[in-house]
Amino acid sequence: MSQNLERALLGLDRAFRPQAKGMAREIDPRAKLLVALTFLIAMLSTPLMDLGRVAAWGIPIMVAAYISRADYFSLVGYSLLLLPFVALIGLFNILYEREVVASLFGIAVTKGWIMALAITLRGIFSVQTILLMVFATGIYPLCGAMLKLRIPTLFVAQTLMIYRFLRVLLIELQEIIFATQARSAGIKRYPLRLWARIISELLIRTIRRARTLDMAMRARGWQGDVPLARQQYVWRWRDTLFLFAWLGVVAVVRFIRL
Amino acid sequence: MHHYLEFRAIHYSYRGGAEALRGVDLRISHGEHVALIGGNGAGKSTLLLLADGLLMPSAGEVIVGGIKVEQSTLHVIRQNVGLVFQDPDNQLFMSTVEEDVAFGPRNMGLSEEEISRRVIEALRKVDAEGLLHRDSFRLSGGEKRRVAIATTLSMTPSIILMDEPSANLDPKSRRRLIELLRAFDHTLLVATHDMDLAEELCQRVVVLNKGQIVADGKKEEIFRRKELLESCSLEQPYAYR
Ligand SMILES: Nc1ncnc2c1ncn2[C@@H]1O[C@H](COP(=O)(O)OP(=O)(O)O)[C@@H](O)[C@H]1O
Ligand SMILES: [Mg+2]
Repeated sequence: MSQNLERALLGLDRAFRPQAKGMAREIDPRAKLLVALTFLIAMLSTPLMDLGRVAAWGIPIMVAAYISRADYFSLVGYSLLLLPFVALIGLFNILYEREVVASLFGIAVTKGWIMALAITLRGIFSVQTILLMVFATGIYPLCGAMLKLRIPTLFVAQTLMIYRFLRVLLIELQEIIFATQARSAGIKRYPLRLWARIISELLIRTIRRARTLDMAMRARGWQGDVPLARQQYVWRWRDTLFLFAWLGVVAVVRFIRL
Repeated sequence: MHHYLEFRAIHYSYRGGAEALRGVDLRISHGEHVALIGGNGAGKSTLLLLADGLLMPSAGEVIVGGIKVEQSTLHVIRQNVGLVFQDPDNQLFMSTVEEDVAFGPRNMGLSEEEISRRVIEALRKVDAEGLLHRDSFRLSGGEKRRVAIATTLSMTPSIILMDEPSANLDPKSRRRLIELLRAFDHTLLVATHDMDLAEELCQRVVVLNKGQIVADGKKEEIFRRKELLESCSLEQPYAYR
């Protein structure tokens, strides 16, 4: 189990690092950010009962992953980590919306089930979009673009902080698991009690880490804002082209009845 | 800025802890290399954190190059003081070595070209150019230490504070570190209980014990005092035995 975790952590870490090559990397970060934001808004505003349309959002994501040469399968893998949370939200719909709207192989499908499925898909696609955006742009250029687009500094600083903190948290989690494993005398399955220990340990370390991370950043001149190089972004024709091509795709998926 | 560092009647207590520093007076002049020695828990790390304004004294004041360390002067202080933490894991937090070393210069608002230039230069100084694109938390102990040093060198500080820099280093890395620090011609304060490192690096030695300075002088004088060192959980450097 911990080998899988190790692999997952490594992969997630890598997924967050800007590695996209070629065209996707060269497009102005502002264009990518605008596309991602409209994409998110359009997707999240798709009516839940329009399940086919909600599912269709998966296609442009696949295309974007292909263009930026991201590993689509690990992208899907990481977005599935969120599954329990979104599914929980969906669960409420299943309980409350009991109106039967269709029947599949003789099983009644209620409105709640469709909505739950749509919510889950939307959640997963959102995570994929965000991961892909970070992957194709890099966290710093992305935050730079946010500032250029007049998104409040406080919000951008928070984004950066969460990003750093998540990384550090992953490292801690891995260390705890190694330490536990080293003393587990080879048992394969950890009892619940041990998991509780691991989680409480993680909480304690999280607080400690937050403190040292803060110190490390302040010691190097960080003052609670967004440390970005005074970078000049040059908006070129191809950025306009990129922007409109994607806005077109978004409009098609959102509004055209096929 | 004159690169001196001064502690005046410093007291510090951790919340819920005992007094870690109990009346420390110390002045280090421009270009001096000083070793701050003392056993575990003597208060060395605490003193360095105070010098960078990461902790504020319970009483007394810290002055860096004529400027008092307080909330409003922190940005000036931190551009001039480079602190290398005791544990490199606490210092490194970005995903790549490159990003980590660039973090300080970015905060200084430099241009992208200047940042890249400084990153390369700092890594070259610590012999770690090859690590540029590596994961900062997947390095060996010695590599982490060198990168941690580079993260402060890239800010070209005029005062460097180092907390037990030779811990976890193999002999060859330790040797390189000593050479690197020797060549540094600004003010240097090194907290350590590696007596041989202190002996090689510094002319002046300050002994800290239970939060107080118990001796301060030329290394030849201090290292000769066997009883004093032993009473502070230290021992004489090899060359003096
Ligand atoms: N975060 C903290 N909270 C409470 N007490 C601390 C903390 N850090 C250090 N101390 C205590 O302060 C004293 C000095 O510690 P420190 O400066 O780390 O010593 P040194 O670096 O010389 O080993 C020790 O007694 C230590 O237990
Ligand atoms: Mg210490």
